[in-house]
Amino acid sequence: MEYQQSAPTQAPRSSSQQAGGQQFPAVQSTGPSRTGAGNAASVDKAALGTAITGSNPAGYTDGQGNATKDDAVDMTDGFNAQARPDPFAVCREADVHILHGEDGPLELSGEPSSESQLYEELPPTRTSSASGDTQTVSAFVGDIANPYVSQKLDPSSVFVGTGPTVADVHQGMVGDCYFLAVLGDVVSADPGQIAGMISASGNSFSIRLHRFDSSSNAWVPVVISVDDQLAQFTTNTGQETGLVGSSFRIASDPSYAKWYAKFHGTTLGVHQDSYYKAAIWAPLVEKAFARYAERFGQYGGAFTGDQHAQTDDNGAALSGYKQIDGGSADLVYNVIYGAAVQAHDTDDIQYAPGGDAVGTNRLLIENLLRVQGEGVPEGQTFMMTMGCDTDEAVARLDAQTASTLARPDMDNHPSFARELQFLRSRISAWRGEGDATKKGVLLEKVAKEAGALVTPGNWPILQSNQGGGDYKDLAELLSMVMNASIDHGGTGPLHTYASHSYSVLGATFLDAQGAAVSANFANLDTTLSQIDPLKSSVQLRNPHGTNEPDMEGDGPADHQDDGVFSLNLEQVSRSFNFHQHGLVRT
Amino acid sequence: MVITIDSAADAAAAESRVRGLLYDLSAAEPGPIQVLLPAGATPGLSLRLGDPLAPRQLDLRVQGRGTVLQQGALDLAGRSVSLQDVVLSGSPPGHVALRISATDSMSLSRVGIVDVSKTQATGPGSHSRQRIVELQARGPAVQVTVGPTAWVGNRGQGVPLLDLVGQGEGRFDRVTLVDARFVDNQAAPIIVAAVGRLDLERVTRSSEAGEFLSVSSPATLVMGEAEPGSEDAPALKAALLAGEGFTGAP
Repeated sequence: MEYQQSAPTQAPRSSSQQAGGQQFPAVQSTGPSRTGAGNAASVDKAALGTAITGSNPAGYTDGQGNATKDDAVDMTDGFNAQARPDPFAVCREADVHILHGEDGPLELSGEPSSESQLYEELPPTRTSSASGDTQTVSAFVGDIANPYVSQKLDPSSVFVGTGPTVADVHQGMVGDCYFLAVLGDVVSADPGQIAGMISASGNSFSIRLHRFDSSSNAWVPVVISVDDQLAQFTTNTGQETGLVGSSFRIASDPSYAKWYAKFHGTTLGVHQDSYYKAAIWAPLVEKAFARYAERFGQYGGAFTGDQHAQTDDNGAALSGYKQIDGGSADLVYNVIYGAAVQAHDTDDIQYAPGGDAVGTNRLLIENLLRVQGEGVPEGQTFMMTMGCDTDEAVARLDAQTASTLARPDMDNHPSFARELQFLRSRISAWRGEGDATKKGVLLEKVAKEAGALVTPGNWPILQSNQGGGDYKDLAELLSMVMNASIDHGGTGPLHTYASHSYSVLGATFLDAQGAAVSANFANLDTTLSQIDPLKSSVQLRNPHGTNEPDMEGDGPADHQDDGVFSLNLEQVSRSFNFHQHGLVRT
Repeated sequence: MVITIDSAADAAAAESRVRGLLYDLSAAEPGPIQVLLPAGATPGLSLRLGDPLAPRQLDLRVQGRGTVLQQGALDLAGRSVSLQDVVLSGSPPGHVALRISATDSMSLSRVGIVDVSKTQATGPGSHSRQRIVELQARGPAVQVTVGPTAWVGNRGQGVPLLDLVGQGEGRFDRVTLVDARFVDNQAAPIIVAAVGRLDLERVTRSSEAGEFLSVSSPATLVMGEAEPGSEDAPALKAALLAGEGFTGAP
């Protein structure tokens, strides 16, 4: 087990999201350079003042000695592409004349009507020959229905389909969940903003963000130009091990394909080079944000007390990817919307074991209503993220553990009670430590103990419905703390992560009978008490694009591993200690 | 209108009453709302009056009566907001002990901020933004007067002691810090942004660690500076908590 403070806030190292790709007769996975903007809207750079051009964020070396290097992306860097099975060989001798070879493929959005569009079989009486596009073959491999497929990225794409979707946001190894959660908000509530901030020329992309002009005390647009390459981690032997930043969604189906026939010795192969649209916009915006941070500071010259340092302890400039590694979501709205931001803030979410999750969180309820559009002026949109500081997650675990220990039925579980007492002693030691390094080590011990408690099979009571759900509440906090500071490689029960930001996509307010509560700002004094914390829910999205709560280990509750999930209001109050929001003109 | 708070139940009723005034636009706009806080030491009482995003903003006058809010927080929003004769002592839950936002003006007088401790999370991922006191401008030319005040024994590595922040198009036209005593604080400096002019008058600082004032905007005109002080933190704390800390102050 390795101590990695950054790991929980970053996407997993799993390769499960990587695209498949058929490779015959040679690897053809590297995508060509991008040449166009696809359906991206245009940004008028001339009207926007400052432009930062011609440079990518600086590279850096991570703690394991892997250096970053910008490189062209290919199918293996994205996710969602469907692998295609290899075709079977059919042994049959024939003389074949190729009509569309590799040099002159048939380009179609669908598929050819038959193999005869790609090659023709010559009469059997003809003398065998091997003259260029005509040859005697002994076997056929692949046909129109099941060809050899080589999957490639469509070089003209920025979006998949007609525009950006929240499913495109897929965090990588940079701890910028706060930024990507806001991107998830924006693309969910105001997708036109994303489309309007990106334009392309050749393989160069212009991303419009905003910086704070301190001389005029105003937000002004700025255009960041980046190329189509993305930073990849590279080992000291030169092997690329994965993207540094966000991945990108690949369309389920190709937008077009190049079909051709090709001789491989005495075998004829039917080939389909499939080109897939890729939602490359999200990693490009992230890359532009990293470059922007290098030039203007993490929040464009504003909120300097909150921004990441721009240099290391020796005064050397930090890579933009390091400068955006950790932050506050509510400060991002200005970066994206500039002067259109009307307000932004951080507000608390209160929790006490057995407490009133609704009554003590009226401000949260009000802001969830605003996410629904209640009380928001015409032409404005309210967006929100949620998170939990690691320290607060541990403090809540301590309080929940104390509450559990005070249960009358704990007398029946003396061994379990001793374990909980031991956990509390670990937490107490962590709480009392002033040295940051030692505190990190003690946090690791707390996390390890939490993991030992919540591991399925160790203490079945934590997976039971005993105690009116109190034990499951404890299990959720144990899972949160288990994943704080330690990279478990995705094993063990998963609730939400601490020090991680989640997009808020919506909320549903129901009463104890499951009926909708029509709450608004005029009636909230009376309707607040009708809102049932266990029946009402908040829809959230993990910017990982995966890693939904899965305490039972049987997969997401909705059977869709897309990062979108719901928690009831009580779980929300327990799992998050702050929400951050922005009100913008849209 | 005068609202008196003597208990937690009174506080909830006061919040509700003010909210009703914010959202009932059919009713005539009331005059200034005066809210009287509980007399003496009150543990664990937090109060949220007003809503910066509400369609109507009111004039709030929050008046202590020798009030010491122990581990309590105040969150006040209005067109104009004043806070007087209150000491906030100890660390309340949440990310900020005192937050005031206004579209026109705000003032703090005879306010003490004592022994508030906050911890700012750092590193990768998402962080709440911890503050001890935050003043938010939500109008284009907000006027601020801070003083007399006493800031004693507050702690927070990387946490602003006082953060002046413009919300949306909000800007502070002029901020006056007068008769302010900073003693034994180990928090990040006063953060000044979105401020046209900052005046420091009779401001003293004793045993402060690190930078005192961080002005991020070159457009800010800073007049005056903090003078070294020699006050004894325990004695000043004791005086503040006993309601005697501002004796002799204007």
